Amino acid sequence: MDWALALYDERRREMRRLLVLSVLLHATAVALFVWTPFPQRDVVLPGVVTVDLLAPSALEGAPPAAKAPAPAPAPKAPAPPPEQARPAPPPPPTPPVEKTVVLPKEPAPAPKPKPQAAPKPAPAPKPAPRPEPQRSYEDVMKQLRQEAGEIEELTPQAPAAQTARAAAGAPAGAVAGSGLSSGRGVRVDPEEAAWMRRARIHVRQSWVLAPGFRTQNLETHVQVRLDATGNLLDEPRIVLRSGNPWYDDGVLRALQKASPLPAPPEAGEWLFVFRPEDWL
Amino acid sequence: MRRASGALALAGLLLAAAASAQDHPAVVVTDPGARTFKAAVQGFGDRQTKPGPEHVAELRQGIGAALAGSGVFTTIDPKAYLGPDTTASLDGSPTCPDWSQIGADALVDGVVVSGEQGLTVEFRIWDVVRCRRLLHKRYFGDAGDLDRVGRRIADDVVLAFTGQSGVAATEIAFISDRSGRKEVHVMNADGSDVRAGTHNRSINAFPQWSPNGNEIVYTSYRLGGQPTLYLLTRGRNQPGPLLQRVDKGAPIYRGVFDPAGRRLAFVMSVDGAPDIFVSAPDGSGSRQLTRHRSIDISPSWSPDGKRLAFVSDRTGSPQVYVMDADGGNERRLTYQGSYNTAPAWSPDGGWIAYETRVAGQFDIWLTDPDGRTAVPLVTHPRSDEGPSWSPDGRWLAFSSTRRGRADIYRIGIDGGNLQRLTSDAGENTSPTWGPFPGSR
Amino acid sequence: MFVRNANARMRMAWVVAVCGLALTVSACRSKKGPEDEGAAGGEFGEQTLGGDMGGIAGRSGEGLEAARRMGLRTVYFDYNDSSLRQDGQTALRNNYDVLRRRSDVRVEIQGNCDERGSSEYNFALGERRAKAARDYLLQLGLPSSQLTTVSFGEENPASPGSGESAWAQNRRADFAVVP
Repeated sequence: MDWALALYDERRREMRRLLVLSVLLHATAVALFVWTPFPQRDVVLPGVVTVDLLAPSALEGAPPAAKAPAPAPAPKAPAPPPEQARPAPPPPPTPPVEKTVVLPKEPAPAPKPKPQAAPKPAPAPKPAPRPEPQRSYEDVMKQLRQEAGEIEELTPQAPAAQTARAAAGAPAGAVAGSGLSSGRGVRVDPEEAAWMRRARIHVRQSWVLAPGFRTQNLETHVQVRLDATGNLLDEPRIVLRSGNPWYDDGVLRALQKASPLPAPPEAGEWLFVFRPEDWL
Repeated sequence: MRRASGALALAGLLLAAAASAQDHPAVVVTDPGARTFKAAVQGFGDRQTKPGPEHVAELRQGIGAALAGSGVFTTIDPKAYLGPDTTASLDGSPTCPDWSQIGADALVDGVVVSGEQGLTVEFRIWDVVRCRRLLHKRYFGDAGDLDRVGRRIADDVVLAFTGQSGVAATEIAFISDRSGRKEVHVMNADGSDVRAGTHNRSINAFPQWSPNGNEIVYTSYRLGGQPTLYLLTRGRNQPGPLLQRVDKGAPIYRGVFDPAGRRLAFVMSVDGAPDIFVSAPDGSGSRQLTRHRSIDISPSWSPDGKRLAFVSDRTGSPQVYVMDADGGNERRLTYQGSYNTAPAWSPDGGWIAYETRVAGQFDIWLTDPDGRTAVPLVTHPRSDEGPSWSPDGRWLAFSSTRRGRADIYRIGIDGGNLQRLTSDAGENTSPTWGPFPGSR
Repeated sequence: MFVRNANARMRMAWVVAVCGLALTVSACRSKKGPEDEGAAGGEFGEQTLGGDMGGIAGRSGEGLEAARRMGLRTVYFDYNDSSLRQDGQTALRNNYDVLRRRSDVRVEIQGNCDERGSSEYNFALGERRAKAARDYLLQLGLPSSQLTTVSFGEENPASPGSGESAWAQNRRADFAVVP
């Protein structure tokens, strides 16, 4: 029996040694993985936001919509073709036979932080719809470059909207790790901006808006508490009502459906603004 | 010293962290992912004293079809349901995740109870994403009303999600010569159940609903003389002449009630020049509003009853004008094109639809009531005429000859969801869209 | 005594609980109760008032026939126009000759349009055409008691179908003898 025990001991010591060696090797691998500085792989290109809104035929000159590494399925971002085939001046009517290419409007220069319209049906006549300008390729590219933060916007803007637009529109990671500022001097952390873009795309997919709402200039601000993995921690809180309770309900529904969102850079309160821009 | 600066640095970091935690920039969502909600409709459980399980299928079918035609909802195939296919009872709530997981926004569940007096349909509408009950309602009727009840329910679902009722339960009156003569007909807003209203074998034209949906005023030559206005009343067989106290020798046509139902605008020819008059519904107290030698016709009330859109050819060709309801402040609205007629004021007052002649045929355009903007809506190369708004303002009915004979169509005011309502039965023109059923 | 008190307390508690529950339940029911509405529809109807007289708009075809036998002629018009052409004036002078010899005959001048244009405007245009013919006859000297006018707009085409030849035949003022 002794020799068996002795052998067993020998085996155990061998096993222990091998085990220790294995653990050490694994630890080294993990350490290497965690701490080795990999290069920033931010491959989301500028103009993804705007590219969503273009008709497919207008995309020839614009950069392709890249696939973000995040879980959000970015290819869904460009609107489905049947909606693109009906470009028209905003509010309601659209010539069904017309197939002119509609270029995206410039981002609304004068944002309305407060909702204007009374709840539907509004008795007052609607403001005259803005005619759809036909713009040249240069104009489009200029706008795309503006949004990429390569050109400073020249029109003065209210600070709140600047922040919002800088945050939402700036693909800050265009140049790796540089935390580019866009708009008027607002520094946006690139990781944050990247997440905000993913979150926007993700939430957008869950947002259903019946056409009748689009002509009413409705805007709702919602405070959302997210945990580190992107789950909604409780009922989102409306901090600015649109004036139309069904619109507000639809916004809350969208956020509920979107949960879990992509994991935010940090858990906590995040503000979402819902404001359909004329893009029919 | 070192320690202090270290502490300061740490404090600074913490502050920065705290500040950033409260002060994240906003995520701005500017483009919705979809225009239509998804609805799941359970088969309504049938608690009855008499056999008749066809209710279950009929109701679900009716609600689903009406929702699909609303332009606001699409329906989910019942085969995809994780939850129960049929409502067992209305005690308790549905398991919302069963429904939200298959992509539903709305769930309709309900039961049908049939008894001696007829049927009671009791139903609920759920927002399954936020798991809330939005509506709980009962409709009473008899077996023949089930189709109508299904449409009402679909309209209620649209109301619960958008604040504006759908129009599946509304009706459209129009003129059709399918019987050989031009008679007033009525059909459901989806084109089903066409029935004749008039049978006088004369010329009948220009039907218009009363605001409560109980009557249709129309023009007829019934008595072999000049045209005058008559009234068709629901449930009554004998239409009567409407205007008792207006000059019977003069031709009168195109009567239209104001939105409150208290006044009637109509066109009467005085010395060969048609002019617009306003009176009480029986013709008493009539006032002449236009006094030109020109043709002044086609009055259309604004939803607040304070103004009238109309057509005048005082400049040589028919154009759309607006004036106050007492006749002052006449102002021309249309300047494009040489022939603009048939104005129709939208229920929210924001638009006036009209027909304009382009290269010999008619298209339908919209203008704002100040005449500043005009936008095309229906531009098919064959004639599209006679626009009439649905009461929710989402649709326009019109008559089109695009397939040869004139048929009634409806189109969403964003230009989509074109549907043909009449098919292969004579010439069908002059649609007028009735009010919500609750108005009665 | 202890037990009795306990029993009483328990019973009280039980009664209170039941009352409370009943109150809550009834309140709940009234809050959650469904809205009620009738859904019955109603039908429009109109009895047929006599058979088809073969004419139009309550007029038999005989009036037109009688006018034709008397030699009264139809007046034709240009597109969107109610002014009298040369041939129209000639036809009207002929009709004047016929009618001034038959002061017992009353005629209805029926204005019509082709199918183009809005039907409501065409009612008015037809009226203008009938009035133009009537006014010309009055100028020539016919008494107004002999003449009435009516318009059928585009609802009474003489020639069905489309195309210039059909349209030209439909832009007209017909004469019909009235009893």
